[in-house]
Amino acid sequence: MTHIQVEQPILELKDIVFSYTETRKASQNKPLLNIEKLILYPNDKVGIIGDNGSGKSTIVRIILGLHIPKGTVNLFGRKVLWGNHYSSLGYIGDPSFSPGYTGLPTGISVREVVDSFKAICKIKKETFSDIEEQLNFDNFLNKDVKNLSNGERKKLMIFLALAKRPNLLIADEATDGLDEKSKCFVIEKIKQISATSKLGILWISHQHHEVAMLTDTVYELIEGQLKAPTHKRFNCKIETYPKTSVNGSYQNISSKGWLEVAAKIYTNPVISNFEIKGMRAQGEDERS
Amino acid sequence: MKFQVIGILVKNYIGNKSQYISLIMICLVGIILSTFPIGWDRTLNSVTLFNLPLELYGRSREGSLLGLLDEFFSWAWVIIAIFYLPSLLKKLNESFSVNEMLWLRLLPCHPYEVAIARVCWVVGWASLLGILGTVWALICSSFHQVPYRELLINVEGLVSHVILSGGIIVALDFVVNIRELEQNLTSVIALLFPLLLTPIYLGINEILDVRYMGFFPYVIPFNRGLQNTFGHFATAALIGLILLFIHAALMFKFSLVKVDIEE
Repeated sequence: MTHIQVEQPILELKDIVFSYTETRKASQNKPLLNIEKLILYPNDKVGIIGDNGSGKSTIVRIILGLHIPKGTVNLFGRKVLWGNHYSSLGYIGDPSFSPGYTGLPTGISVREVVDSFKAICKIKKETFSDIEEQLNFDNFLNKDVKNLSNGERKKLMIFLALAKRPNLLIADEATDGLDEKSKCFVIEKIKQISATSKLGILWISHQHHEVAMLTDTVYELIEGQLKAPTHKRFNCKIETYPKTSVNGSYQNISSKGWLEVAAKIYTNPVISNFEIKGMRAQGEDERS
Repeated sequence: MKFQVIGILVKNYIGNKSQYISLIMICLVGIILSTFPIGWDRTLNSVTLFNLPLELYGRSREGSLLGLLDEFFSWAWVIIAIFYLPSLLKKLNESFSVNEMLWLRLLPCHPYEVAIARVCWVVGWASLLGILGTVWALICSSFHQVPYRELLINVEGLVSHVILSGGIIVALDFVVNIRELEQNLTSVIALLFPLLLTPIYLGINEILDVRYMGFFPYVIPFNRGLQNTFGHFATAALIGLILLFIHAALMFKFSLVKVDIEE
């Protein structure tokens, strides 16, 4: 077991250069990713936003050891190798390494996966039943994992990632395919775990408001490089009446994220009134 | 090493139990077909099947009975090689895939425990076939009063086939970037390679008088005409076991990275 002190990084990406294809002439090679530095310490919450094809998921695949780039990739102070096992790492996403490859076993029922997981992690059967209950596990417990819908698969991954109380959570479009109630529960659950532990989070999503709710440092992936977002951001708390899933505190919410939240409020027929508390930062709080 | 973890992983690999039940059924059918319908006609000096004389198998009682029983077992071997072994090899292949490995890599289990579970799975499969085959051989031997040793050679061949094929899979499957087509191809190679070694052996043996050819590994059903098959089959099983052992041993170079965050 590795002992990590708070000031030691749990994730380190340094001088990363990665490309799926390489042309013969080095000058023609424009890498998909060119990351100078991305370091997470325990309790750090980092979000990454970016357009489709910008390489967000590739970063995750590199961290998981599915791709080997040039540069340094360390997890919990050790070089990432596909052969190593990382029980302190929680992962939610779709590795999409090959079509149909989901990062979950096939030919086995959800119940068997959950039971094996609990037995190996030595988790009592009834523990974390709140996650199972809120994510409606009963509806798909007896299904073969290969027959799960995208949302059900994500629910299973969320359970596997959160129930073991990881030290680092890597989420790549983690709430994709989930219904609003489940999305809200997952975000609240992660907030709750974060409040009681030194959970490090790397949250990668198109959903800007999600990134704003769960992270305190946000990077935008532009042309393979991580950059601090250029747009002005909000720090605010939105309360809706009656209270629904859009309630919450948002930090670093971008203008795009603000539009996402506003759209959710205006299009929700249940909400009769809402109140925004907080301030709009004028760029002075932007992190470099 | 946590045996409980290995047990859980083996249980997951074993998966659907219906195929094991059908293997037992094949064994039962084989036992029934190899006992009551087979007899010896003293007047014709011929082995009979459902009272039909089969003179093709010779005039010696022991030789012709053993020949017919050998053929029966060989057919069972062929059925297992066509309908059961490919699914084992494909599943073994898939156990290296991102699907099967990613979630296991994020659990508190060591890489070598996963490898040992795979080895136990293959050896368990071979052992099940070995036990069923041995039961068949002993029942046939006592029913027909023929020596069981010759019948057991075929059982040894089937067990060796499973172990060598499994060993080939784990030896070939060290690459992450293996896709479904490659997986299927690897399974076919692993299934056929132990059989294809037979003509290679026969060819080399015909041309060259090489020492130690008695230890050339191969497995083949319908092997009555071949000499010293016991040695060849045993070598094949040994090589398979070595490959499985190397696979497990290599996994010790990887570790389970656990952290304990201190303030």
